[in-house]
Amino acid sequence: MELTRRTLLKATAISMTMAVAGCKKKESKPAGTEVAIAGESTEPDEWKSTVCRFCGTGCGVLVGIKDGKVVATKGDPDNRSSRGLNCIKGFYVGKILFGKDRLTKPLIREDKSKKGTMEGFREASWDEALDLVAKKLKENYDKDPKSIAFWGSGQQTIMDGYVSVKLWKAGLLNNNIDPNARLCMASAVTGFMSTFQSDEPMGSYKDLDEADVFVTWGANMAEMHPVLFSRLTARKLANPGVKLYDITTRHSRTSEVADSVLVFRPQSDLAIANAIANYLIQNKKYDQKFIDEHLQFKAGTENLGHSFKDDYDVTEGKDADKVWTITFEEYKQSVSTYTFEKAAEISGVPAADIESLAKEFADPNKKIMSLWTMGMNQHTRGTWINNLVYNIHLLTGKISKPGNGPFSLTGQPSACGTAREVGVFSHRLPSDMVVSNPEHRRYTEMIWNLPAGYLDPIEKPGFHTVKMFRELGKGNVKFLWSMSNNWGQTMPKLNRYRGKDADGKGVLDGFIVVSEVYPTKSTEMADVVFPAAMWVEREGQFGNAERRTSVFEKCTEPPGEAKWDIWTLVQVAKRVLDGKMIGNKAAFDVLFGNIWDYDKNDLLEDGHEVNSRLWAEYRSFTNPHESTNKEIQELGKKLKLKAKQMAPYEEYFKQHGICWPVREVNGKWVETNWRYVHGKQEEGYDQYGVEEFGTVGKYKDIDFYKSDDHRPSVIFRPFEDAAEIPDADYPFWLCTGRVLEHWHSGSMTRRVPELHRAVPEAFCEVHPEDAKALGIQNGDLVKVISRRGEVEVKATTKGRGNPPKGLLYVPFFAEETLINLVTLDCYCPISKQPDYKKCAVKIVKA
Amino acid sequence: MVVSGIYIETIPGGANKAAALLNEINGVEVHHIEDNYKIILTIEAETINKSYEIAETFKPIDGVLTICLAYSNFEEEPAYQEAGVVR
Repeated sequence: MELTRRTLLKATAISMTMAVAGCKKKESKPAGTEVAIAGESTEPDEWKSTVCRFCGTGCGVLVGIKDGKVVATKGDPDNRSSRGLNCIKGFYVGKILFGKDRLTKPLIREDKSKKGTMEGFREASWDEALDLVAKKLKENYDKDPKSIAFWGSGQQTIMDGYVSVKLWKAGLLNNNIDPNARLCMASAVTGFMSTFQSDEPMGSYKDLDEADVFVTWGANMAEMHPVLFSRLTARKLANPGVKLYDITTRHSRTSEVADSVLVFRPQSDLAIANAIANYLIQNKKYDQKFIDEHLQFKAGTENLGHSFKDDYDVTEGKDADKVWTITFEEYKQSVSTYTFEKAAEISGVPAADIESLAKEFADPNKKIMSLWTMGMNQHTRGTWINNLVYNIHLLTGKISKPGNGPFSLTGQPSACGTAREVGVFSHRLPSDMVVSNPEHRRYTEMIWNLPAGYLDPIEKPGFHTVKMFRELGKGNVKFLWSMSNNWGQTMPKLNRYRGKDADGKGVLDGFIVVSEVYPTKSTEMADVVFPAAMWVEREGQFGNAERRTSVFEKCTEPPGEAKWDIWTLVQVAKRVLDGKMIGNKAAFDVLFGNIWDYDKNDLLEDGHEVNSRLWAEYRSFTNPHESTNKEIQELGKKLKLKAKQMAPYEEYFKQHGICWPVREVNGKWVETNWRYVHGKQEEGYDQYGVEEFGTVGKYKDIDFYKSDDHRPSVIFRPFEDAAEIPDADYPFWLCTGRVLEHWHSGSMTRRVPELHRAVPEAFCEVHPEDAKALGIQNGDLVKVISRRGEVEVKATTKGRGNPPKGLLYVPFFAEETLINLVTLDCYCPISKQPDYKKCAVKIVKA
Repeated sequence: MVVSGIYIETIPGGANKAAALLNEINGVEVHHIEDNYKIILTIEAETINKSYEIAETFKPIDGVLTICLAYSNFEEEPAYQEAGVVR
């Protein structure tokens, strides 16, 4: 590269970086720029807009193409979620496509005795693999409809999820479909639904720029959401009074920036949240008018026990989600036992520290943003802790306004967009609707052109994730198809789900299909592997944590014979629905005829056209007023489906992502940043939602129009202890999680040698005093052992995180250190999300 | 040669000191410091891999809070050159 061109590239890099960093100075030229060749351009021929493949932040990435090659990437300044910034994993967002071991041909297992390894497969043609999968699916379905299951993902695109749901729920009339989002977001979902009757955060990333106090509840944002954390720190640095309270079970990089770090005994966040609410009540620091005008109070079933047994849902846990109305006085009485002293005793956090945080909430002039991810969601009382944080924000009216609000961050790129919005859950339908509601089923029937009552057979929810895998282990689920996930590594209590325990042998006997891009611990368990196109090898859509839907354009072809998942889903649908009728029409034609090329007998070749037609159909769930069918109009209005209104597909390309609900204002499609607040739509408020479904002019201009009686619920939830508590035999808590360099199970990031080298192996963080007492030196190989399994891993007393005495931390990215052999599969009785953050273990030198 | 633009945020008042250390790293050039917590720099390296390795060395530097990638041109990077593109 000539010096002059390099100099020009540097000048481009500097000016773009200064712009996205918000520098006052706009330009800083490197030496030599003045001698650059006149007329030479550093611009690629074309920038294609995409959104990052990794986490749930949803950063915009522009991919530069020149002479037919990918030559550059840059943060997308027009993406309003990330505003031009990417974390340094962004260096590799393109390179994850090019790992040497990409799956490029369908694989069929010939030797079932080799299950659990990548041996025993042979390459096959697509036709052979598709025929075999369709045959096995149909065979098992005909014998017992409950014996089939689909496990989707928050990494599927929105339209991949939509097609999966349509095939399973309408094509096969089966609710055994659930996403891996059950492992990461389900408690946030049930928290939202039980408090607000709507599954969504009401705030925006813009709140990061306006809050006076930030509270991270079990969230290591510095490593897991670095771009958002940079916004938080920018707010804090530019405004010296702004504070961060980090409520955590271990010191992390986030703690380093915090003004106050509250290290609590696992599970006791329930007591801390209740103590804050109690303080607000005892000192009359709640917002009485907000309560009078906007809230109702509830209590729910208590003493829920824990889901050790497979029949928990129909025995001890059967009434777990029951709630009933109580008075404010009754709520006050219930929460009154949670004094700071009691919370301190339960949690180990000094009472004064809890009081300091409570006083922040008590200050009516402070805007407070609560942020959380897995610490609150992966919790055997995950729904409860979500409810309790909402309680605090609701009692003080610190919600739905800029800088004020509880905000659930997401781990996966489309946990909200795919799993939640289109309903890839055993109990849901698209757009917040549920299978158990006859009107929801009827509306879905009309959108999908099904006869009235056609969906009645799916009125009862199917297997949630843990139940699905428990039934697979017991041999009751005999066919499983998983897509864009890695259950062979990420399910808890893995010995059962890898077929090693006595109650897990069914995994070895069952017929398992895995759609994947690389060999993983899940493809090892497969009978058929479908090679999938990845990220920008096809066009797709992700929905991030702030309700922003973004599209990514196709930039390159998939390797070998890899195909995009919609093609695979529709090809299986074509085979498995063969001969099935809906009314007097072929079922396949009714469900997927609009994306099928009947001349070529294949999916439409133009991927954009396929996505566009699917989006138009999905979008009609949220735009009943545009329908010519009066019944759709009327029922859609009654169900308030326009409350989650989506824009026409092409608008997402134009705007580089839009937050729903999206309203048409003077011919422009305008997003909503703050839900339920009346104000100008163009300024991000929910003007049209409040005007159509609520009442303008209520206190603080808020109308919670999606909630029952327009009143969210403050729900009393007590402290109940963890499923497994350290004892004499297993004296340590074990907490698991991620690291910055590796995203989730590492199936993509570990293909990038540099990310792999940065954190090449898992580690076990141990408190130095615990290590000393056990004779463990930094770097020693140790065994972490629970009642369910054990792993060998290197100990570190000098990690990035510093656990307190009595707690160990091990990340889950490394497939050679399967920490989930050790974890427990007990779950929240309401959300059914397992708790990866706490179980009892011992540690010995290996 | 891969040329990248990086934005670094430091603890308040820590940018000047961190920038001096960053500037000593081979391939790194600090171009701008603002309000003593924002640093704008470029990385020049032969490959993306090397660029990432250089960015990795920023983490332990005293005062560095967050490292954000804003721009990366890798028109000579072999891994990308091998990939075809649909237009």
